[in-house]
This record gives sequence, C-alpha cells and structure tokens, in this order.
Amino acid sequence: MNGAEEAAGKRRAARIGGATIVIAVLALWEGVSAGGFVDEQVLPRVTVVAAAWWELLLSGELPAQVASSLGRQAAGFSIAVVVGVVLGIAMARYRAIDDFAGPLITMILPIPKAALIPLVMLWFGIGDVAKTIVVFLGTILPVVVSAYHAAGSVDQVFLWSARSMGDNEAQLLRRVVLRAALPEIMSGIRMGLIISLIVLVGAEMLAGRGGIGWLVFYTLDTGAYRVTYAAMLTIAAIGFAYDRLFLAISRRLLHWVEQE
Amino acid sequence: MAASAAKIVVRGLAKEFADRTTGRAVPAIGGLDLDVLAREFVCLLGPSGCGKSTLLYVLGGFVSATAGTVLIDGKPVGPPGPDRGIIFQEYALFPWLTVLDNVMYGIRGAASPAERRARAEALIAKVHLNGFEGHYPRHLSGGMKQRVAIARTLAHDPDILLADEPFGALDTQTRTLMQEELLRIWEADRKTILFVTHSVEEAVILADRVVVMTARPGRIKADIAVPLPRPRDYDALVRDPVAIELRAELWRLVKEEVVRARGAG
Repeated sequence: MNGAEEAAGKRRAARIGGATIVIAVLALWEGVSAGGFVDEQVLPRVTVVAAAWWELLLSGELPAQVASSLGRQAAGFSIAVVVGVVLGIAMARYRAIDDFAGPLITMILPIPKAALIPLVMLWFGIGDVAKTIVVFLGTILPVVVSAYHAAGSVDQVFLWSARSMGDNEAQLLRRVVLRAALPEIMSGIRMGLIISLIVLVGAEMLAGRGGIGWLVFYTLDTGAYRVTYAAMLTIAAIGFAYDRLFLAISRRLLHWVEQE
Repeated sequence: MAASAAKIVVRGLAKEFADRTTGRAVPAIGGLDLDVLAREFVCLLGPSGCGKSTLLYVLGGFVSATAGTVLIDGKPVGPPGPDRGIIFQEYALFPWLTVLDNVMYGIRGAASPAERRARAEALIAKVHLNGFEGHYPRHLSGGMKQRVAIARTLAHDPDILLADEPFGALDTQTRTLMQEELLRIWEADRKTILFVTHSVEEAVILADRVVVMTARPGRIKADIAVPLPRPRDYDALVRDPVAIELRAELWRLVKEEVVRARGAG
C-alpha cells in the first residue's frame, strides 16, 4: 500500500515537472519574442499565436482542415492495421506466404517512409487516395514486422494446449496466436501511429489541397506565420492526444500483462 | 506382433532430431515398445534428455515419429485432439484469460453457455479453487496454476491424460499436496495416465507401473509394477517396506542411466 502510494506520488511529481517544462518553454518563447531578441514576424509571441489559433478555430477553418487530415489518416491507418496484423500473422505461420511477401517487406523496410511520398504521388496523383496510400504504407510496415515477430514466437505450449483442447487452425489463430501476440503488436501499432502522422503531414505539404499539413506550408508561403505556428501546435496536440488515446486503449486490452 | 487389447500400443518407436549446428540426426528415442492398459496410471522415469517427454509428444500428436507404430485404441495416433489431454510443467495457462475462461476454453459441443459455465465451476471446485474464478493466472501461485491446468484438461474429458513433469517446478510441500490431489481425482474417475517424472518418490506414490527409460537414445530399461494398495496414503507410504524397497530399486536403475548419460555426454 505504502509502495503504491509512493509510486503514485512519484508519478504525480514527474507529471507536474513535465507540465512545468512545457510552461517554461512557452514563457521563454513569449519573452524572447516580446523582448525583441528575434524578429516578431519570424517568431510571433505565444499570446499572438494563441489568438490566431482561437480565431482559426472559431472561423471553422481549423476544424475543417483537421477533419480532412484526420479522415485520411484514419482511413489509411485502420486499413494498414488490419492488413498488417493479418499479413504479419500469416507470414509467421505459413512458410509460403513468408517466402512470397517477406523479401518485398525487407526491401521496403529501411526506406525512409517520407521518400515514398513522391513515388506514390507519381502513381496516384495528389488527391485523397494518394495521401491515404502514403499513410497506409507508413503505418503497415511496423505493424507487419511486430505481428510477424510476435506471432512467430508464441509459446509452443500455448499452441499445443489449444490444439489438444480441440481448436482448429482458425480458432487457434484468433483465440491464441492473436491474443498472445497482442502486446508486441500494440507497440508496432503505436509506432505506426506516430509514423502515420509524420508522413501524412509530409504528404500534405508536398501535395497541398487542404489538410493541416497544407495549412502549415501554405501560410509559410504567404507569410502568415502566426497561423503557421498555430497549425504546428495543433499537429503537436493531435499527436499527443492520439498517443494518450492509444495508451488508454492499450492498457484496457492488455490489462492481463504483468506490469514491470 | 499380434493385435493387443491395450489402450496405447507403441512398437519400435524411433525419433531423430536434426542437430541445429551440425545438421546431423540425433536419436532421441531408439526402438521403444510399450503397452498401456485402459485406466492404468503409468509413470515414465528416466534421466534428463532420455526422450520421455518426446514419447509423450508423439502420443499427443504434436511430434511425428521417425519410425515405428503408435496405436491408440487400435488406430494410428492422429493429430492433437481433445481425446488426449496434456499438462505441462510450465502450466501453459492462457494469461489473458481468467481462471474460469481458461477452464471453459476446451468445453464445447452442443452445451449451452450456462451449462459450460456450470461444468467449469464444478471442475474449479473439484481442484479447490472456488472463489478464484475471476482471477488471472499471474495472480496465482505455481500450485494453483497447475490445479487450474488440471481442471482445464479435465474439462474436455479426455480419454488419456499426458502429463509432462507437471509438478517439476513446484516446491516439495506443494508437490506433495498436488500428488495427493491428483490421486484423489484419478481414483474417483480413472483415466489412462502417462506421467513423465524424474522423481522416484513421485513415481512410487502415483503409478500402477513405473517404466524406466535408458539414457538417450531412449529405450525401455525396466517395467516394474507397483504392488501398493489404493487408495494410497501418502504418510503410510513413507514408512511402507514395499515402497522403500521399490524406491531403492528404481533409484538404482535410474542412477545407472544417469551415470551412463553423463559418461556419453
């Protein structure tokens, strides 16, 4: 009980510390900008950026761009998670599928995902489809790799026990392999989630017709820097919120995993 | 060999593994014959690496034999199925399922969910774990985990129980209690049990017959009946002259093989 309280106390202290750092950086930013150390055009004050953000929010511009970005992200990300988990498990369990898909994945794996953006645009244009494909490609690789590795290292006694209790192949995959592999798959998905946001924003910058990444690039071009900063902070907030949401879901799904 | 009425018939069983570094075939079992009668409790005793677990895995259908025949009820052994339950030393409970869900895992067929649940609860009571239905395996001790594993295996009502050193990881007191508990369950509903152990004491307490295996490649060295009455009383067996004699004899046989295995290695 005491140990748990102590741990909770430490966590609370760390959280307060983390928040303090964020506030300190914002204060420093405000000070640097207001004090005239840098051109206020290049680094507008936090308060100015916040006002721009508020304006953008009320005008409906920000929600519209965020919605269009998140729509693509959600589509590409969800398809990649489903395909990636299925493909990774299939590769781990069936030699033929491994031999077939393995070399391709090994080849694509080390390529920086942002480098795929121009190629995808060449093939699929600059519309929603191309950006969704970019997100899909960025997300699927870490998911496939984690699912492949996790499904390939499921404890044999689990598989044998399930078989002797009458599981057929489909039941074995769903009730044992997927469940046993889930902790590692979830870390692959988390990685994919982060990459999906990075490549999405990158794709929107390169091929702009809306979206939060486009907003950053467009306002940079037109010199509306305060909006640029507002959009960038929004991206940061989305990333943070996504990660928190992910951790909450993950904790629910993996409550059975031994902590520490 | 004429057809045998035994539940399990093993003739000329051989199993080779490929050595991972040299690629050469390493014999684990070298020509093994064994009959196990229905409702018989047989312990397989032998030094580490003598192929006793491998024999169990062949019977379970998890591993295929290199040569020889293995018949169950007169038919060649098939892929793993609920007719043969298996218990492992490492429990093999699914950590993502509660005790109740683990036990319910293998109960299927036409039974309604309520029936399945009632059956699982009855089995959990049978291994004295009432009140732990909602616990996850990580909250249980080793002995409790193995009780759940036993209940889970009994849930699909196997004809044959294959036990691979199930109490090998438990401390001595827990081990003794588990042996008594297994005996109680088995004496009430006798299934054919093949029980791998390297403990002479355990074999004498549990078995109708103790089969001693040679060092690798495993063969049968001795096949010894345990003439002790049932139900067995653990405390009485400690001082029983027949049991003492038997333990000494078995230990002498196993020791020869342990020494031989050490010499070969």
